[in-house]
Amino acid sequence: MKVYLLLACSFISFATLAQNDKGQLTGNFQSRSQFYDRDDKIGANTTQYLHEKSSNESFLYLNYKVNGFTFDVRYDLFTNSPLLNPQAAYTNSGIGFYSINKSVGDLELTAGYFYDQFGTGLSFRSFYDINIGIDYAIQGVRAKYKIGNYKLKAFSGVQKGFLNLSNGEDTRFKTTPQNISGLNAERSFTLTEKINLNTGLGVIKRTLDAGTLNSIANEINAYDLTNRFIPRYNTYAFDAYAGINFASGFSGYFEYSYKTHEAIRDPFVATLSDGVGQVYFTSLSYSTKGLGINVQARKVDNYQFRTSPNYLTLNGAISYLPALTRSNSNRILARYNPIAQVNGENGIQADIIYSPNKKTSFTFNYSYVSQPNGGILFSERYADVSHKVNKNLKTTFGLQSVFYNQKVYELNPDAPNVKTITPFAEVVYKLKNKRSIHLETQYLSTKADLGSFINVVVEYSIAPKWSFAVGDMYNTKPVRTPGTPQQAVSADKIHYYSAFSSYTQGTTRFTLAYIKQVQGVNCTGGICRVEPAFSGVRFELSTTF
Amino acid sequence: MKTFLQQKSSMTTMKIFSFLVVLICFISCKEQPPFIDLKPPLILLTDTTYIKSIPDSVQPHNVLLEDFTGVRCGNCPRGHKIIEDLKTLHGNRVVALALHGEDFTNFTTPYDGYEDFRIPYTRRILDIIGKPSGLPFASFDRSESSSNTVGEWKSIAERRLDSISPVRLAISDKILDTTNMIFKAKYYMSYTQELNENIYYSVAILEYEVISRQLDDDNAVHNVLDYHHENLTRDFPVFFKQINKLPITEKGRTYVKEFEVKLPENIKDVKNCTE
Repeated sequence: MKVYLLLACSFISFATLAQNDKGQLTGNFQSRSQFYDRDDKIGANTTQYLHEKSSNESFLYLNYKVNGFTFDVRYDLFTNSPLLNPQAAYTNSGIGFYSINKSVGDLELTAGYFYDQFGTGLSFRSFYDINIGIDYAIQGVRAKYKIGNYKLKAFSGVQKGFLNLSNGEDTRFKTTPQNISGLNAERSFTLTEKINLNTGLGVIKRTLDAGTLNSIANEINAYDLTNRFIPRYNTYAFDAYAGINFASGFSGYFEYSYKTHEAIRDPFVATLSDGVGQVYFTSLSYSTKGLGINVQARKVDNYQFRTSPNYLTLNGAISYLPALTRSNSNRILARYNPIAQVNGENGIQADIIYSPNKKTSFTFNYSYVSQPNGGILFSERYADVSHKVNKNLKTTFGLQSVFYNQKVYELNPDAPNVKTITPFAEVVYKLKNKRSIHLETQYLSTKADLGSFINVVVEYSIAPKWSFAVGDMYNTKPVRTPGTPQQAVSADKIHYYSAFSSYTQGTTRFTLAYIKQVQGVNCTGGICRVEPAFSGVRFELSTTF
Repeated sequence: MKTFLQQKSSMTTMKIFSFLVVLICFISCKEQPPFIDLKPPLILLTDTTYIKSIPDSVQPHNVLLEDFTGVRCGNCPRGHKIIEDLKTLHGNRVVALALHGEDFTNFTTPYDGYEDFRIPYTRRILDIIGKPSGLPFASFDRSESSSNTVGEWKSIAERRLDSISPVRLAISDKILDTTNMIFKAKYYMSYTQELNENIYYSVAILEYEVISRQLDDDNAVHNVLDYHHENLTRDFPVFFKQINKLPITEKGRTYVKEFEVKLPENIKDVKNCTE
């Protein structure tokens, strides 16, 4: 209630100021409604199919700038929503984000909620992704200051709450009790006319509240003596990063983060242990006309940094460790993703894009992720060739091969390793009057998980307003390994049909789709989670103003 | 040349920033960790349970008086005297524990050159019963009866002595091995009525007649260097263990636990110890 009053007072006060400076109000609105059509054959039978029958998530974001002040506020609504917990119906609403920002010379101050990150976010990234319902906003104060070529940043606050999947506790519109504070300094150097160097140092301090630490201490006191250790209130993560760019096309980025001792919960056995953590990350690139090469490597050594070791999965994450792999947008090609293993992993990824001429380009990707002991977790080999046959016809053909350790990635002890080979093709043909046809097909061949699939999608677009698509993902060779969640899906050869339409007018877009979606891992921005199947109608509306 | 100097100056600023970060993180005061029991577990020689066909008769309630005290607490000796009076009046039906802890540092910080009586269990007990506003403070049976007012202690203790205990406690086969600093005993805990609540037990090692410095506002000397510390709690070999985990325990249910305990090394005279 205090928050609402504060916001109301702020807006009223600045309405007066706005008489002199009219200010600028902008914003956006997103809404997603789903209507559920139970389908036991594909495992679409969570609570919404049995009881609530429909759900909605809506977000209204407003940004108001006046007299050097910036006000942000976001209203969030969840009704019967599976977004925060795919297995449950969540209903709540409120102010999900608010902030006041003011620049005074080179000093920029923010109070309320804010999003931020140090480096690539290894030690700290506060962000928001509505596709999987995560919101790691920090509520507190932040100051940014420019001194010459330096950018200094300091903040202190608490993280926005969440729906705790392990005990059902709902703090989504509150905050968590653990404190997070940070300091960051960045500096750019011009070494020569052709070489730029950007460096940064950061430190994050996370302090556990007494309630959390006492619960951890009680748990440790119940362990065997050999497994007991003294937990700490304060944990620090240090981050150092540097990026160098050469005018010749080479660039390199290096980042290292070290985290001091803290109680860490093993996601597999759920017990606590004491340890430090570290992550190394490097990215090397070279680009020239017609050729782009990027190589990334990352070593994770016992690095999970959360607001509390009692929070699991995506809850309370402070550090950002995305999947180190090619980001596939296609439904079949994106089916298997290597969720970063915070206990430890070594990963490498290489991308090569070669365009010998304006019409043709080749893409190659290789990624490999292994456990610290060398056991393979994930690998992907990907190649495609894209060729513009003429002004109206563009084709793409390719092949993807994946190894996926489903046992580890989906905490599924009976699941065999998934090995896939997926040939795919895509054709875009432009018709007259801004019309076009887009045809894509993939055939995923595997003897594990749910088995092999063929996917065909045909899309007809009338630019810039209309788009229609129909598709079918057909489980041609079903596999249901005993003891795995895949057994909940019927052993029949199932069709996952979909039909989609969208209408765009200016900045407003409506979409209406009938979807049958296979269960599996859903990733966005490299952050993934396992989601159940979906069957039903989805209506989405988004607009900006 | 100018660019080089500017960069040198920038590097210096970066070093200062790094130094400040390290300073903030590590030169701040050392954090006080929570209590983690890193002692070797005690040896449980017997751990059995049975139902007595003829349940034991009801035992009068003995009172557990936990006296939270400190060597720099000038009013605390008044509480010590009340406890000794109670023990004179009621004998071993008053079980008193003098607990020195790490809270209230003005009262509990040991004097230089004198032994530190503080044990981490004191804070754990306060976590359970709630932290008082100051010392002296006494808790009675870890119930809601607790008091900072020494004048109330006698009446509270005697009120609790009038009640009955749902569990009869008996001890046998006590052996004190002063050579090897080992104490052995067999405990019988028998329900004299059906109970639908959790019962916990602790085993504490006490030492008597420990001579050390104590502030005493009632003593003309004030700083008494040869104060006799009684009921000094040295250790809890068993701390706050649940007797059983059944929701309801029937009348006659008896638990037998036989322990072998290694006595703490800071005990001055093993003969002055009891459990």
